[in-house]
Amino acid sequence: MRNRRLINKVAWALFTICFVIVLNFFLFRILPGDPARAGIRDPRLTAEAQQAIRVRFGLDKPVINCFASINPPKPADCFVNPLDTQFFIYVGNLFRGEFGISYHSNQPVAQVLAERTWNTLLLIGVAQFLAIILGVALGVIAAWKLGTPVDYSALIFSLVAWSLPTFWLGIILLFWGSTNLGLPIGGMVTPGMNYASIWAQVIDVGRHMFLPTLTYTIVFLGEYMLIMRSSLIDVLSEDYVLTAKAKGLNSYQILKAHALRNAMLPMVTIIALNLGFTVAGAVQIETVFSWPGLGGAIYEAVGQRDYPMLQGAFLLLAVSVIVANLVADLLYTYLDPRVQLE
Amino acid sequence: MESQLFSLYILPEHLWGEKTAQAAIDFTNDTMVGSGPFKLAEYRQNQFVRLDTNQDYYGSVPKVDGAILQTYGNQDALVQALKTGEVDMITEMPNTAVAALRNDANIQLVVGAPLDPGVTDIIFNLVPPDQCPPDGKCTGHPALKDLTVRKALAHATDKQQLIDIVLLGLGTPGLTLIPDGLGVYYNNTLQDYAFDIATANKLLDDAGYKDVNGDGVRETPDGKAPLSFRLNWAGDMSSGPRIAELLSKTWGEIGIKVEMQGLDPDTLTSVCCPAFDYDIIIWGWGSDPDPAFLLSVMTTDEIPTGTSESGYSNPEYDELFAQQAVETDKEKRKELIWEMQAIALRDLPYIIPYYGQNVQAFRKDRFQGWITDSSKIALEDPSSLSLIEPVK
Repeated sequence: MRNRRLINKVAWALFTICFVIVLNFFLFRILPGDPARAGIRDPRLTAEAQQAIRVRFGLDKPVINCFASINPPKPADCFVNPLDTQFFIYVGNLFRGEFGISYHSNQPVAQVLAERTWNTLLLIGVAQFLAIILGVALGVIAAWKLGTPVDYSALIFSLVAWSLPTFWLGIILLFWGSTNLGLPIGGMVTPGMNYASIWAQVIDVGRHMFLPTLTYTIVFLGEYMLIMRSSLIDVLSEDYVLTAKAKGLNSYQILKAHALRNAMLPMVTIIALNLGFTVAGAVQIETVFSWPGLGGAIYEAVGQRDYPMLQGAFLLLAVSVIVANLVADLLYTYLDPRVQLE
Repeated sequence: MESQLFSLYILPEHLWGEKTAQAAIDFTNDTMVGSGPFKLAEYRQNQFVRLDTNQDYYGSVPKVDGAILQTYGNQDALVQALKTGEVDMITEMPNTAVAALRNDANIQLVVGAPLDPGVTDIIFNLVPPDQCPPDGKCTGHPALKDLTVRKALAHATDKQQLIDIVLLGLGTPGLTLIPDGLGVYYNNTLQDYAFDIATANKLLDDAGYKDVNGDGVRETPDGKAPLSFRLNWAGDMSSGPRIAELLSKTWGEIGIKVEMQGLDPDTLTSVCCPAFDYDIIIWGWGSDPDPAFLLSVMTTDEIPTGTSESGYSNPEYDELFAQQAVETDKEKRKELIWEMQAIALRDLPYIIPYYGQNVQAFRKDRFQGWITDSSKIALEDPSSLSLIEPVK
């Protein structure tokens, strides 16, 4: 039975991904505009040259049977070979593991996405890790010291951190860090450096990462702390915690054995959701610190109507959100025996 | 001729000569071939370009070993990078940073016409019904086709205020699409429409545009349509919302209402031209060193191609454009081009709020020898990069 439920959940996840694949294709083609003109901002581009670009990227073929284009809607022949339409070429290529070639950078989308995704994962992964550890710790302390000055200061700090506009905090930290700590202002590496050793390279990337990581950690720390605190306060007011106290258990034992595991449940949800969206990167942080991540790549691709990049990136986002949710579902059954897979 | 040479490059015949058009498109050109003072050493898209000095350059070999052109995600970071010395020179900055950098002892500001003069323009939809392109919608407000209304709008446009607020003073008032940065081709004898709300109101009153229903917005003489125009701008122009806001204020004083909306550039292209599905657009052009292209934008031939944004059509102007294209006498060609500018200012297919200036800055304690006294400012140009040397 347990396995059947598991298979069921995975099947639904796969179905959702298929739906996203179809949606992605049509979503971007509903936007007005012409990629053959948007990518190349030169009005002197002749009609022939524009047509050559369309042929090169297969944009001269009908989007799907009966539709030459969706916005503006233009009818086309309905009796063409469906396999020779943009939609089925796209789906066919996906099944072969090909995401296409970016209209703008002329590089394979998979290659661009892979590089950008690693950059983003490095930055956001470290920052999320720090934010979770510190946020949970701070939340536990605040809830345990409920009503004391420690609680109030932690609460005020978290509320402020959570409410700060990301780009504003980023700019302030950028000015502060570059002036007082001598940290680099933009990019991921110092351009044109010849590293003496791998360690020199790690240190260089680390110096570039410090400020964006700090910004991201502060912004997310507040959210984690607030949720952990309120969740733990709820649990601590339960009767069984009172019973534990009556049994003579000390604070540490009550927290560890009775309260924390239950209080972590809402945290798992919020962390899983955040991790899913993590791949989207933080466009604002990436912009402030000129970090070559995925968020920035998506932002640029929208402006350039770079369909293959958008399709690839959105598929990646959708898959990571779906997988993160699936993991959260499975983790729930482990943390809370009341939630059964069957 | 000059404008043609501008986009013609020297290419190695043994690589390109035999290729068919298709083979030329498919050729990846991995090993870059060029003939300049620098060689491309490393390129990371949206991160940096690293150039090495070409020691075999036929001209004077640059004194520096190379140059790195780094991309920053926002202009404030760029200014900070110059202040801390992470970079030695920056090619652009927000105008708000100018005052702070001017007071920095280690930094020299350079202000001048850009190498590639840009024009910001306010475009009116003038396309005549009989010229509407086959795939056009041509929904422009009929009142804008009346020159009197455009003249009133010109009189109600406070160009000095736009320069002071949008550019913080770093610009000159605009006349036509031909910017002052184009030197002799710029007609500096033309008289602009003075900012004068009373004159603008009188023009509209006399032409019968009255506010009949008393809602503060004038109606067309037949009383049917209010003078309420859609005003769009390109979302990637940081100046767009400010210009729109300032225009809506002074235009509001003459009983003209605008519905403001920024659109992303590609969406704007699809409503603009050749669809002509708009009333007024704030946008811009980059220019060649030669005015021929910007002049072609106002010709009838360019209406169906989408290059003409206004749909302006005037046989007299078209005839002059054809003449200047074949005129070989430089002085005579200049006369033709000046006359075309006079026509453009008279007929107002565009209001040009200003011509922007380029502001760049470099650190005085790092490199010296930048070209700062040229009529056009481009510190990043190889001409400057090959002259600079470290400060001792």
